[in-house]
Amino acid sequence: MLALIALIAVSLLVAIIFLVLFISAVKNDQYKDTYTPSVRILFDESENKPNNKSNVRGKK
Amino acid sequence: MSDTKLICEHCGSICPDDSISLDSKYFCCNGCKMVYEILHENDLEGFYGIEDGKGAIKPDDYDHREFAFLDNSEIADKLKTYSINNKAKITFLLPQIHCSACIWLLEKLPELKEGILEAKVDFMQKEIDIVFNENDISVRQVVELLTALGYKPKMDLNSIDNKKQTNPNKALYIKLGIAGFCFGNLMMLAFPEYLSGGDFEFEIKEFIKWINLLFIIPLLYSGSDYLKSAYYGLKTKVFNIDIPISIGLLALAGRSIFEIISGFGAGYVDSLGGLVFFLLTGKLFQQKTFNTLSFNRDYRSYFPLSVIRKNNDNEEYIPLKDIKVGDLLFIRNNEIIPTDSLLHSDTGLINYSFVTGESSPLEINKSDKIYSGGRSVGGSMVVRATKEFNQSYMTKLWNDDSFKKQSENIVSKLSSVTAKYFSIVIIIIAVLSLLFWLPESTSKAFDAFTAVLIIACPCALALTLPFTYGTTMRIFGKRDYFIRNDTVVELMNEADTIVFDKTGTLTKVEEGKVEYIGKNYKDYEGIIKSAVRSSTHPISKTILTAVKDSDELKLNEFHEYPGKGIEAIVDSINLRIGSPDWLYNKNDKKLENIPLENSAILKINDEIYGAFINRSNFREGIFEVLDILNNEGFEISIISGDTERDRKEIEENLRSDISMLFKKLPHEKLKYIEELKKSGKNVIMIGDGLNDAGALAKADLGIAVTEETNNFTPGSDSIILGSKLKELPKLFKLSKSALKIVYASYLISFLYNIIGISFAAQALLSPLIAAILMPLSSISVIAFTVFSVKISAKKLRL
Repeated sequence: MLALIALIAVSLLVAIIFLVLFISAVKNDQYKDTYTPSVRILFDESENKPNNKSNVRGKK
Repeated sequence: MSDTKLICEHCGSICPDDSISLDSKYFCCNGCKMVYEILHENDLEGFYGIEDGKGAIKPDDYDHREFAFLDNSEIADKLKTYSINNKAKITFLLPQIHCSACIWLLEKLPELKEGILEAKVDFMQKEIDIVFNENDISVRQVVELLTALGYKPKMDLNSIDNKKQTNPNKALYIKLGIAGFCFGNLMMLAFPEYLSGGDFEFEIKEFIKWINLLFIIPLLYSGSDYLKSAYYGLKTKVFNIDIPISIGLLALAGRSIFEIISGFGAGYVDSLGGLVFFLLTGKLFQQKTFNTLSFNRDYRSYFPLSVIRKNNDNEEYIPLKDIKVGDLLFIRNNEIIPTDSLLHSDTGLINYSFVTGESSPLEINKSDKIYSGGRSVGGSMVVRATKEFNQSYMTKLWNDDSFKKQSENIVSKLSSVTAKYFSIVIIIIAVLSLLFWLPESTSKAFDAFTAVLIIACPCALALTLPFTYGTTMRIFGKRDYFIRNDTVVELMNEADTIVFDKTGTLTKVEEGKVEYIGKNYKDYEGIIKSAVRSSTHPISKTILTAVKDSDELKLNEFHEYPGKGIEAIVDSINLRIGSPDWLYNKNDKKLENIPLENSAILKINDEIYGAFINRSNFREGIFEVLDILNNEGFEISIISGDTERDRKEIEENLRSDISMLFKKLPHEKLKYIEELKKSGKNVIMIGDGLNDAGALAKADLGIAVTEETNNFTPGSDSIILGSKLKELPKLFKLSKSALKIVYASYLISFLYNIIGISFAAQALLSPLIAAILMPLSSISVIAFTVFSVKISAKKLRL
């Protein structure tokens, strides 16, 4: 029986951790824009050549 | 000249010639060539692969001095969101954002320019957040880069004065998250209590009971908005729906605390969880806002940020607040005149249609008075300011209190009335149950009393309005009718009178309509087309619609005489189009029945062919709309700032008799609405311009009309696209259906309440029954209302 009580307590604890993470995500504006990330994820980043970053430094 | 046309490598439109090119690729303008160069140099040609290259925008022409005012650190600082240790963040509205390629390109800004550290696009808001290093790049340079790429930021006085509001939904998301967490876990933890039939280990049940007790705290936090609102409602004696909701919340919490601590029962915390959770989803559903719209734009959004001031031979861009009396200001074609002034140039043409409703541009001469807000058309002009910006007629009018919208939050009358009766009835039933059981058993009496308060909680009732109105609001939004908040649906139902503005509302101002009376000019169509295309006068654009299908003929000579007209010469043909004063001798009597004040005369080789008459372009189907609304029982009238010129046309096209008032000033429009309201009418005002602002604010419901959602609209309760005005009858029908659905949903929740109360009053309400009934009633109300509204809309073919 103690085992069951402990299990309930621990799983609630884990759930609370997730709740806290959710709250901090909301506070950090994670949900301010719910649309654009869906577009961003479809961009093909492999188009970036591996030495791209170093090229940019020399510009303008 | 070959027949194959060159296509611009960047934006895809047709190049007028082959003059602009790079690496054997052709461009339609230097702007496009520049974007291509920028992309090419930075290895970003992948841009053309996204959305098949349809993302490319042709950059507007702009004067490089246009953003000089941003060098002024006072202005630049006001635009920034923050500036710490030379790292600054700034947010711009870019209405040109229209596809994923835009997002891709704009977020690559750090690669395009040294000094830009981060760029993030919010697609729905059409905004970009840019973080940049102030040592490397200035605000002005950021704006110039964006403009060069085709994304000229939309900046007006409001961008300087207003700070960004934080997302109001944050708090609601957090409360909803907590409520969901509690509800879900409580339901799981309730299994031992409900399903074990008492066999389960005592310790576990005890443990769960105490956990339940702990959950009450976060649940009351999540429901705190309702408790606060109920408290204020009681304090101000305004009954709102949050009062019976709070009674239910407190009854649930109170009874549960008592039962758990005293050991008499398991409490109803899971029902509390469900209640709070469903109520908050209703609130979230209600909170739908139309992101890129503002219902509160004031006049400052209408004016640009800066204007050119001439100082002897020097020209500089100054912010509007720096305009001094006597300054000479240079207003380019299609720009807005920022303050009251006198015309300094010899002639000028001003379009006041947005300000006064007059549909014809006004011709003025040197030293004539000009009012702020007018738009210079047909060319540029120089004016001498007679007032400072804040003292001009338009800004004073706008600041007039009667032009300000009364209240921010429209509260549903239906909701308040329902709340009152509901609360009274429930309290009566609860007290009666208490008194009934008192003689027999005190505990049973309190059991029944609290049970009635718990089960009768109007959660089904409280969910009806948000979900019905909320769904209606979303359907409206899809049809380009955007309401400020969901309660506007109710306002639409209460109205019995509709007042229409004319210019810009019933008529389209951007596209004129022209009627030609006279000798057939078919042989000269090509010349006419070339001539009007080279002219900047507004009537030229309108005449173009009459000849747009013909082929242009190359002209030998072209002249535009400001204040007079245009002249085109091809071989031996001399074709002129212009004002009657210039081309027509009234004694000639050839064009007797023509309204000369709105016409342009066509003269070919000294022979008067005829006249192009500028007619108001009434929207397609608008007269039917007026007739239908009249038949539906609305009292319709038209009030306009324009002259009587269109009275006949309107009368001829309408079947019903509608009162029409013309030449009304903004204050007179406001007064008209006021009088209607005084006589007991519930008035809707539909208008588009600054001159309608007062009337829109005064009316019970103000609907602003616009051609494009990015345009400025005066403060109103809702905004509709001009092209969708013909849907008005359907929109009103849907709001009527919404009301019927609300009543039907009330009936459903009433039935649930009867079942629930019958258990509660007999003191037979177990936590299990409560936990089943409440979510069940909530879900069925939500499902019923949302589906019914959608079906009604489908039936109306909305």
